[in-house]
Amino acid sequence: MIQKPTNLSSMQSTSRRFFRSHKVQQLRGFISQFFVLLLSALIGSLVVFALLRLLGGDVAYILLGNEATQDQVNSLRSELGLDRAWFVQYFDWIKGFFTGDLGTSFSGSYGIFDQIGQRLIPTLLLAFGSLFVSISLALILGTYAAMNADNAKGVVTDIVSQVGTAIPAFWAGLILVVVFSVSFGWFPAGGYVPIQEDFWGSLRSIFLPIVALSLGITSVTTRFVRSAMLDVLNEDYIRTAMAKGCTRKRAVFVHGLRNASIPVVTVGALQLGNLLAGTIVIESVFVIPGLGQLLLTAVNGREVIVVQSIVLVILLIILVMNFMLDIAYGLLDPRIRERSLIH
Amino acid sequence: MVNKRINSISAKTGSRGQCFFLALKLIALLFVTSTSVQFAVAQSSESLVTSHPQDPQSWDYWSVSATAISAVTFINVRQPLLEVLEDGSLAPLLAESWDVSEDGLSVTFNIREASFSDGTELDANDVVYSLLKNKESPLGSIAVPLSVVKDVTAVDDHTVQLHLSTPSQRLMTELGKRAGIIVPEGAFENLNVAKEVVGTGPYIFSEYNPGVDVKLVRNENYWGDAPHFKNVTHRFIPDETAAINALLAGDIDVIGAVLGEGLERVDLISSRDGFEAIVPPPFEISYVFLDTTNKQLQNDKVRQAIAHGIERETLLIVGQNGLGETTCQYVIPFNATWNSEYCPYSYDPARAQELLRAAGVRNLTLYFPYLMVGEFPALKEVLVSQMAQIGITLDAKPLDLSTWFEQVWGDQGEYDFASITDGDTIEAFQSGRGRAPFGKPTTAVTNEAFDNLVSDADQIIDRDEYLAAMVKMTKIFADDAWVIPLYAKSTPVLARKGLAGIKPYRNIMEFDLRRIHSTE
Repeated sequence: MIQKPTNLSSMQSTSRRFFRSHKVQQLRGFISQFFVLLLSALIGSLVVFALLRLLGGDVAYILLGNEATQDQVNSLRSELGLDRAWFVQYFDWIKGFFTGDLGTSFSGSYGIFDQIGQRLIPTLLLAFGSLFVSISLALILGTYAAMNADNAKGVVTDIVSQVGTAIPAFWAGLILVVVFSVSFGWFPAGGYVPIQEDFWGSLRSIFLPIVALSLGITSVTTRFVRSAMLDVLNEDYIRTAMAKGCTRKRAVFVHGLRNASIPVVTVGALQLGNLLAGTIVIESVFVIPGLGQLLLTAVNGREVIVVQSIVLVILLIILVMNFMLDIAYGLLDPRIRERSLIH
Repeated sequence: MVNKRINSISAKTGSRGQCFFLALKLIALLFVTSTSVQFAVAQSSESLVTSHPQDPQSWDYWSVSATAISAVTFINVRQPLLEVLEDGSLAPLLAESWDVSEDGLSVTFNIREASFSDGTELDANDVVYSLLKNKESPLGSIAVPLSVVKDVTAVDDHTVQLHLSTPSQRLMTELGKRAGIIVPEGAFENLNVAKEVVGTGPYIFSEYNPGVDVKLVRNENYWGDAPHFKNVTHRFIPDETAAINALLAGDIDVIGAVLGEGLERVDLISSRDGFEAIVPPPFEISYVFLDTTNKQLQNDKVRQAIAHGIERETLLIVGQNGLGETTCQYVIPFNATWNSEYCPYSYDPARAQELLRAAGVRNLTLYFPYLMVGEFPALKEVLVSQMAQIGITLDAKPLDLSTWFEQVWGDQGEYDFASITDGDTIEAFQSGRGRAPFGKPTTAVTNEAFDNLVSDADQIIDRDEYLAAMVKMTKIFADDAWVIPLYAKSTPVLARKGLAGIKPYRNIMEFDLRRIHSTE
């Protein structure tokens, strides 16, 4: 039997209890999501560790080259700790990763943690810079295409976005270098200037790579925005807003864009994985010393700890982004927030 | 009234739009202006920017075999006792002069007055320490030539004597390579040689950014003539297309070594205004080698058939864009006097088929693990097709460098037919020296005549006798056909015009900066 509140103070306490219990629920939700994230990272780390062992090859052969005898190779492997049991190597690495002490590379020339930290900056600048540029452009172009769906402007935008989807980032990068660096000399053909050294130089060095990386993602996201916006334009609230005196543009930008943003956020976050993979290629084309280049060098040099750590960093970035995506959904759409509270 | 408001809004929007476009134009202008400034840095008379395809990851010449170490630091930072010239003769470097005893069992070096980049003076103790340390190197190319050294003693501050167990022709040449590098006494104990490079060269190893670049600054206390450029930056650009674009855009001055896909563009770039290609004589050899444990390959006729089935001109064009020379002999340095046109198994597919029939071999399939980098994928295509022409199937499998080393070069020796490019001398193939196909514990075949000649020739004191022995050794090796040379490889340098003094030859991939200068 439901007990009815008899006075105002009991109503207030009921409401406090209701919100407190929901806050606790919300906190529980966050904690459980966090544990899922941690578990996924650990499973991922095990998979990466196992795959690298299956890959074959050995850093000892790379360092000693074609002149090594098997005894020398074995002695170097032992010196580097590669002859220890796999679980000892795994726990050493995972402990080092979370305590920030991964030691030096097998070649002995750099500290792994410091190097990953340094390389992370240009990679994140490229990935998030491209994501920001792509989503911003996609929102504008997709909305424009939806609003002009029945005329030539919309068709042209549509064709451009389809062509953009078909252009691979590395090819776009090469063309951009040939045109803007080699022919016009407007931008450097490659290299990266740290932002703390020279702000404008840094922007110049990442401008073409960001354009190359953004091209495909902008096109894909534009198509998503267009389709979401076409649905939104037929919604009752847009019609109501216009009936209340809002111009079509205002109705679309004030009321429509936020609703059309939900699929964009999903696509954007899912694209992050592709973007991070794309940066590996783009870093090679533009000679940017990011995680991708370090990863390639480390794979070829069989610097397994470096490879494992980079892959785990990338994995964590994607997992954290997905975690934040869940939060962003709630912020963008109150219905999702309420639903998550009820559940 | 409504219309007025609309007009005022659109006017505001218009002015905002103009402001926005003005700001965009300003940003673009700033971009372009500051980029032009960067060009000036790349082509200044004080600085030189070069590119190399590989970052060695470690600068420890003693235990890491990467040739990229030599490209940047050899001669420029770390120097050996002697210098090997283009014709293979020797010139003084840290040793001002030297004297070999009549019995060839002792060599006396007079060491010049010089100082290391850490400020300490070079003396005989540094030389004694370095040579004894080099003798213990895990790398055969360093340790093996020094194995004849019984003892090294400092006679006085600037005189060092080497006592040898047997005379050695090879020793002196190798003292002009890695085996002869001199470092300060105690360097391996006191420094992290993987990233700290101290030497007597014209440049000081200033800063190393792994995977990005290494910066050298002029050594103002260098014992010889000061080099022209005050600062040299070696950028590591693994993608050759990116390196060429950087050269064309003016970001770098020189591509130190064109090794991969860029070879196809060498002619095109050198024909453009403002750029030139320098093609030095070959100093490495690409060759095929066969597994000694394969019973069918132990039949001389089968190996001879394989050698007759190889058409080298096509391989040179495909693998090296024609930059180099085809060869049937393994001779390094390629311009050594014992090199000749001798070719026991020239291209003759009919003869190859005849030999296979005579050997009773039909439908022979050979496992061919190949490197999936550089010229090797292209070479594989041609080799598979040429072998198919004589009725041999190559079961080709692509491998990355590390796996290839482990499978093919390691003691497992999992291959029948393999291909590699190498710059080591023919003596490295002696049995027991660790090099495939003869040096591995699993090796099933040895060539005693060749092995004995390698040991004996090195001890010959008379130069003419030595040369005759080398001719004989090279011919025996070629006749054997376990190792089938394809071509000697030239590694071009691409540079912007206005640079002179780029060394016209190489010994161990070094990019000698001593005489490079700007002509503008």
